[in-house]
Amino acid sequence: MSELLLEATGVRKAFGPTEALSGASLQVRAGEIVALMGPSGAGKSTLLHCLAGIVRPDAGTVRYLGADLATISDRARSALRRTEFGFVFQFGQLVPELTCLENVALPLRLNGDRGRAAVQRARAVLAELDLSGVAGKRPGEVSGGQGQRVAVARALVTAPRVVFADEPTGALDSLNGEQVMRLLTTVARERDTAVVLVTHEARVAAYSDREVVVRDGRTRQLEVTR
Amino acid sequence: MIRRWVADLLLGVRLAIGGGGARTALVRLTLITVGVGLGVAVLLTATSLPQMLTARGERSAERTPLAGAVPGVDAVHVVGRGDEFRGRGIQGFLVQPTGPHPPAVPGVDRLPGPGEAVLSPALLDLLRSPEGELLRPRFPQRVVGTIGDDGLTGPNELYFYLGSDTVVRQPQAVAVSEFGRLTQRRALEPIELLLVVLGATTCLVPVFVFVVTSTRLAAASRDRRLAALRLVGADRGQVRRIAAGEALLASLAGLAAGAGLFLLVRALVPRITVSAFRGGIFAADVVPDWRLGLPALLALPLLACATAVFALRGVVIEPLGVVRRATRLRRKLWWRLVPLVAGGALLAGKPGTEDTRDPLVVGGVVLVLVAVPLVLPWLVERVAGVLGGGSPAWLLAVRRLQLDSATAARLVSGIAVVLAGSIALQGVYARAESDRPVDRDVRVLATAFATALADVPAFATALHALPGLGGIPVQTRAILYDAAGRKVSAVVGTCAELEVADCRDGDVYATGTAAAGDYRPAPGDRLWFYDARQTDPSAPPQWTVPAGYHVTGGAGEAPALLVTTAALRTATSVGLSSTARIPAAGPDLVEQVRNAAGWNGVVSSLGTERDGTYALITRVLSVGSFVVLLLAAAGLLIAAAEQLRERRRSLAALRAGGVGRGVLARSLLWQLAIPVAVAVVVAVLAGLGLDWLLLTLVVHRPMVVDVATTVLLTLTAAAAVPAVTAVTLPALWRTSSLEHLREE
Repeated sequence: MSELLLEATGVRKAFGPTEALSGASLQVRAGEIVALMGPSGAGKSTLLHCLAGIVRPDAGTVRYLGADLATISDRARSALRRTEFGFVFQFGQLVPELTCLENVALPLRLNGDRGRAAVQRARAVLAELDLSGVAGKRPGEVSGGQGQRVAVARALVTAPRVVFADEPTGALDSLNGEQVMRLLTTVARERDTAVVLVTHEARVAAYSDREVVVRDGRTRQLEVTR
Repeated sequence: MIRRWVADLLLGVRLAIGGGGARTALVRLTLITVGVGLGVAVLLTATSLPQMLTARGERSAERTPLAGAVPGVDAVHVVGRGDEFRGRGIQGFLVQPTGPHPPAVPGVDRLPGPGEAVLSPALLDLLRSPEGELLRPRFPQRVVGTIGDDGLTGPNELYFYLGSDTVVRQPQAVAVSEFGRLTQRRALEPIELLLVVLGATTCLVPVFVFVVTSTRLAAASRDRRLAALRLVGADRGQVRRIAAGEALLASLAGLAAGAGLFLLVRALVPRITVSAFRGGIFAADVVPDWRLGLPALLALPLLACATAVFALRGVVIEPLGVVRRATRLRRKLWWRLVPLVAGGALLAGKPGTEDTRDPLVVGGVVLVLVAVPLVLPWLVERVAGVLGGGSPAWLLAVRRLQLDSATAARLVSGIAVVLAGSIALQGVYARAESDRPVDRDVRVLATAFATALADVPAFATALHALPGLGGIPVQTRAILYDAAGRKVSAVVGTCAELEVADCRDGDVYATGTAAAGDYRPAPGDRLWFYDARQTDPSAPPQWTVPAGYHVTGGAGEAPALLVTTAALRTATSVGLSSTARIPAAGPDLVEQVRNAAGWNGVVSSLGTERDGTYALITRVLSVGSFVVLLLAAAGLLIAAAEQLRERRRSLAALRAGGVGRGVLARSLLWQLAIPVAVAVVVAVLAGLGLDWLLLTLVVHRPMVVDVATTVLLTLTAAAAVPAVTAVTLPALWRTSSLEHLREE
């Protein structure tokens, strides 16, 4: 069995009077693609945010490689996002002022890599994902599907151990959505990168190894072996 | 560590120059650049004022004649003359060299001989132009040279050296062997210094307010961008440094733009200051005082960066987006009042001193004006808080202000400071103006001096030949001194003019009563005209009181002589002044009167420029206040436009919901009008309060409120509301377009 990367236990999170998570638990192992399924408002995104250390749970624990994310500093969690995690969201994650190449190089630059090295690495990733043609364009100048593929490239450029993808195809048509999912899962499997995928679409979830249903803030493991 | 920080700052720079598709970043960069640039230009210009005054003063001092003898130098007899033409001052000297080695005069290659003139280029141009037709009779001499820049206070100064062979006979003539040395520039009067301090503070505070406002523009989109960076791993410190990097680039660009604008202003200064400043300003004199300018310039980028970082305190930028702190703390008043109270205390605590150079007085003025933009946000918040609903436009405006009154308060604080400073300035100006003695019953007072009895009738004849002045009385007077230096005044004229009963031409009549210490000449007394012996102690007496001497009435009056013209025929030379009081005269007639008086006369009329420094200060400050008011209005405009851009989706949603454009326009108007109204009240109170503190407590003079000017200034500031609303309307129509509903 592969290495246990993430482990959420009894996670609770409320926003005001509304309880989004009420005791969710989940384990994610290296190289595994896990789909979080469920209706709107079930708490899927909140669980993903807790797993990524973006949102701090009110109760319960989230451990990454055994370390409780709630006990580490904001700076350490930021460092985790730069080095260990990658993100692909539905919208808005690309910086409109930067070119696609610069957007992909951004996590490396934030991590302290020198500009030229970061750009070379970003260019290599774009080439690997067949996106060299959009390197010099800004997010506003490329199609939605290309933009999401650039976001995938950016999520993978630091060779993260986990990629968090929140409705990555939510704003795309089915053809572009499939391209993005195929790209994300193929590269993740090649690199032994775990993917935590939030979706409410069965055809997107079909790319995962395992589906976890989130309903009323709780997780129900549906071990679907593919 | 340093490498990381530099990298973060550079990333901020990179984000700021997004270019191409990143319109938001470019707009923001441009706005901050414009803000800082305008601020820098105003700062550089303001800090040039001391050098401008110093350079003018120094050149003026360098050409001041000094009495005395210098070995190897042939003295020049000089008489200073001041005149006007169409309200422009004309100054210069009548000169009479006594040998081939006269003293050097700045800007003059060769002093003119009799019948020659050396003129400033501006005076020469004026004389050659059609506009100078009425001035030409005053300069019949042959022009043998022009005065160089070294000898002028400004490029448009009307200045002259006229050669004459009668200077030595003039009562005020001085034998001069050098120019300029030992002359000290006069210090600013306390009230002039007050004007400078008030004006400079009035100009600079809004500049800083403008920079702060610019830095906060488009903050929402900036915050969203920073949130995207947080998602990919930027920590809070990095986000702050990246924000500072953005502001730093804009500040540096603003510094460059401001320097460019300043150089442009500097190049145009000689042209644009013809009428605004007496004599104009040489571009070379507009040099910033780096002791003042450098700290202020360094403060601008620092202020911009600090504001960018400080503005982040109200938001939590998290990877998922931006969260504005839900519970906005109510503003506290106490610390905002500290500068006001401290400034008032500094001014109130200085009774008995009239020294406005006192740093405490200067500090007090600055603190009171700085308090205006601090108190305003608190007051706008309170006023907005108590306003209720009304029409839809009013309701939208009030609710918007209640949600965020800080932006509105910031926007109007620049206008408030300019208004407060201008009102205070106007008060000090009105006081100074009231202190100047003006005989308001006389439009023109013309006096001509004569050193020969035969020359006396010329002035009256020339004057009476002018239209409407045929019967104007001309009185000729003299001051006579005896050997002991005692003096008595005398009126000279025909028997008809003297109105003495049983008058006999050739006699002298003594009037008044001689009290102890008064001098009443007796027949046979040998006298001098003016105090001729002051310039030449060996000068022989000029006139002996004749035997035909009569004491007449006039009990209770000071002793004086009524001298018939024939009685002066025995005088070797005379020093007489003929004066005419002209109650009304048009501009052309005034110039003709000046021509009649010639260079041996003095003509003063209402509106005379009595003190160049005072006029210069008030004009510089008036222009400065106007520029800063424009700056404040420009800040209001770009901030209003930017706010519309930020709210385009919600405005489009309102339009989609059936809200008419008229309602949105009126809402915009109220949104500007409410804070401006509060600002105007604060500014008027602060301005008048400052006036009272300065005039009543510091310089101990009664306060003068120029109601008309105060109302005019207030209306000018208030006019910014409809003006900005009107200019913003096209942007409102664009941003409220339903197209924006489709934007992500």
